[in-house]
Amino acid sequence: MIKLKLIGAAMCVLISTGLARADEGITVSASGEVKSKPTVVEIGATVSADAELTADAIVKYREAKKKGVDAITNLKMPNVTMESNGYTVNAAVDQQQQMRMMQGMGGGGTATKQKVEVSEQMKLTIKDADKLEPEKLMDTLLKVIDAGKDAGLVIGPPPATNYYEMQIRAQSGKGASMVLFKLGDINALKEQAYKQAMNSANAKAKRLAELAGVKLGRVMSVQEGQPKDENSGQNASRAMAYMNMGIPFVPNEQTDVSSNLCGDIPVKVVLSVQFEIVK
Amino acid sequence: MGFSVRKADDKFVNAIDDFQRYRDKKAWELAFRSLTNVMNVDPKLMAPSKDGFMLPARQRIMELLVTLPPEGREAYRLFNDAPAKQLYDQALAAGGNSLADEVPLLRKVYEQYFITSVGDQAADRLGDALFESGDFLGADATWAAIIDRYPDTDLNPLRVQVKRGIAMARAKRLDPLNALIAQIKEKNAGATVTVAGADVEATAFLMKQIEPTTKPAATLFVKGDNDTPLNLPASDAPAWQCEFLNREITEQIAQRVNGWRWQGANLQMAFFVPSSDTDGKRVYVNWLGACFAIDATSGKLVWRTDKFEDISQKIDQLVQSLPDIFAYSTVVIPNDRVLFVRVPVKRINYDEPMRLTCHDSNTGQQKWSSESGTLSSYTFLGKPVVVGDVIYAPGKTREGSELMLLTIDPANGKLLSSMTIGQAAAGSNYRGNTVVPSSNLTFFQGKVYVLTNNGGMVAVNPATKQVEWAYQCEGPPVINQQEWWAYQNMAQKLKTAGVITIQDGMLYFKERGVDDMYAIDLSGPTLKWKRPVDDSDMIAGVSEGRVVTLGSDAGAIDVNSKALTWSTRIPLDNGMIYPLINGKSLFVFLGRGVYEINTTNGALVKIFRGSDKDSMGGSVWRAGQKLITVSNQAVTAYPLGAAARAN
Repeated sequence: MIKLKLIGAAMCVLISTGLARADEGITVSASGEVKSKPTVVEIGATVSADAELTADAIVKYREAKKKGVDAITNLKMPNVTMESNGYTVNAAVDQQQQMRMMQGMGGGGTATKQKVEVSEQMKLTIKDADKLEPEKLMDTLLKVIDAGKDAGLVIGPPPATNYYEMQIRAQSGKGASMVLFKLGDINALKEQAYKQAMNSANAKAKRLAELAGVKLGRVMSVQEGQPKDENSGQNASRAMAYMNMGIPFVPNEQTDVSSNLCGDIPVKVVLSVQFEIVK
Repeated sequence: MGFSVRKADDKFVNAIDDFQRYRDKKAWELAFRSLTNVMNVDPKLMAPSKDGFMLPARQRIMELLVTLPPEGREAYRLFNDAPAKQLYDQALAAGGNSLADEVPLLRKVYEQYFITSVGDQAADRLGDALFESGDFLGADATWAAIIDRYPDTDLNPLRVQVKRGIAMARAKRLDPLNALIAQIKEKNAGATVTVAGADVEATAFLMKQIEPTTKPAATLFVKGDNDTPLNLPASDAPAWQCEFLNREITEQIAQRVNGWRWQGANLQMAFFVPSSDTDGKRVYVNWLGACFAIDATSGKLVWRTDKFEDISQKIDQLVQSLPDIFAYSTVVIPNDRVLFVRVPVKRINYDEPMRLTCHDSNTGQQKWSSESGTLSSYTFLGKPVVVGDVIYAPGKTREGSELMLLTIDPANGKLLSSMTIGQAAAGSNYRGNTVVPSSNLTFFQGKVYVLTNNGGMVAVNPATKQVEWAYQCEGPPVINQQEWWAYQNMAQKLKTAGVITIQDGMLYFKERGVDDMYAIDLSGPTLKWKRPVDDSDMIAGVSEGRVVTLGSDAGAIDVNSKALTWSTRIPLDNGMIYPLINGKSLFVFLGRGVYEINTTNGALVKIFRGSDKDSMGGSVWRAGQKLITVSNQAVTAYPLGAAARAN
């Protein structure tokens, strides 16, 4: 019984000490940012075919895919690859009829025949983009886009078929871009950014301690915050961005950072650091 | 409900039903009596036959009579041999005057009295007359009727078959001809016939009629020599270029269309590719009614009918009148003349119909116009065709919806005759005016084939002013005033032209805005096949046993199996494209350049970028040693590739 009371008292002391610590010390927020050239460029491409006869849809799809793949392959660029997420088979939608229904109009003059649509989203990837001069990178990009378009691939998102679709894309702010510049593996960059953030936190805390006339102690806690810009790790905004590029999106990627601009891409971290005040 | 022809009334239909019922019961007298009152039915009336065809009512009667069993035929001859012989003798007597007098009477015997004792002789003689007049398909069909439907003929069947084979060869129906030769070999191997006084072995003689041909398939958009292989230019540098686009006007058109929210219906007007033609000396262009001529050698503007800026004063009226952009046409005709179908710029208002104007091709001076005279009450519905010394043009009266075939004297624009082809399913535009889609005409072996783009294909014999047959099918949706609001805020579907093409006795057609293609055997006529395609597809031509199509994909459909054999995706932005087939290559002018596609396997052979950048594509054709492209903004000529020049 006495043992239990002693343990309980010790727990209270520990908890109160901890509570007391949460209110003590100096807490600062600091960020670190490191920029780097994109290492990977991704271009979305769509192969799709629709027809009333399934056999026609298959012929169209296969031929369109083969010619698209051959066109990219024949560029003979070893750093350009093409990947696919697989194909889908759907009932094709008549865009005009859909719009009429959305506007509360009738379906149109005649019944629309049901068509089969076979569609496949592909990703064209240009690797080692950081090893290319900007002009050379642009030439490569444009060659790939041209070859794809000549072969009949839809590069980027398909064109908006109605006014509402244009509005939605405009609101997302990503309507027009065909290309996504990415940093491949950002771990090393994040490491540098963390160092920067910690150094900045140290410096801030020291200054505050000087001003307060106290002595700065050890680090008691570190919390990572969310940078307030579009290069966040949020799946939802990345999903929207990828969708608007026409690129297949894989959720929960934690290691990639991307941009529409071909320039240095920042990797940011924000830390909240609590320092002890030495008495 | 689309295009329809004048139908025989219920009395006729009931008479046919009665005949069939009595025939089946072998009540011959009653059967023949049921036909008595309809034997002299108006020859212009049509009756339904099988597979969607409408045939002249008299021909329908003939179809029924040949289904009589032998005892029925004997009974029919008992009642009808005498009048048949009398009519046949009249025909022979008229033949002493002229073929033109004999043929209608022979045709009457053939249609009304075919199964009588003189029916086979009348058919044989009619076949001879049709062959002499160049109607090889008609001759083939008539002789075929003797072989297939007159089992007790006194005529020499082998001789009739040989004549039929010659007609097939002339009509380029090579597959049926080969089948006929095989049939003769099987039944009459080694048999001879007398031709031009000499005895010849029948099958060997027919085999000699088959001309080996490496000619490329027919395409409607050929200008000039299409036999020499065409090699795309090596350099983008043009021989000359004439930019005609007035961007301010097209922006104004786009603004008006968008302002009215009619994008879904007629935004293609803002990317209008003008119709064009050439006589080798000059290129003639019709841009929204402002017509001009360019020297084919230097590229200099020679003359024009209006300033393009004049259109800018009338944009509202032009947009609201919503002309059918496919109706604008340009046709070079003999004697240094050129025809335009257009709304003359000075007359653009909300209601002005499409006119036919004729100009001196050297100076542009207007020779005559349908704005006045016997043609003034007609609206012109598409490109006319010139045959010999007449013009055939599709048209209608201002507020009417009857589709008509007008025959016009090219010398003075006088209306020589008009005939009603049928009743269009008409819509109305924003102004409440009756709207009928423009038609496509083609002339082949004595007949004018009219693709209504309204749910019908019609074959017309202009000499007899008769509709020979009509094929009714599902047409495109009819646009009515209230439908305008239904096209708001949506992209317009690509609209390509409706096309008819004829190859080896087969007629292939696809209407504008419709998702079916048809193949008709002209010797019947019978429907060979119908198959779905994309509604934005058009027929580019026929090459090596494949119908080449063009839309968002170029493709080829086997004419026998109707399977899609290959498909090549192309970046098509504008439906007003007019391609060219030369040898085994399809040339199509798109926004990204002139694409050359192998018609055998769909391989993309070459893309010629050219110097008409930022255009939406358009027409491509060959004039002499130049490749001419006509886009929505410029006419450009390039020297052809070296191999073509060497040839």
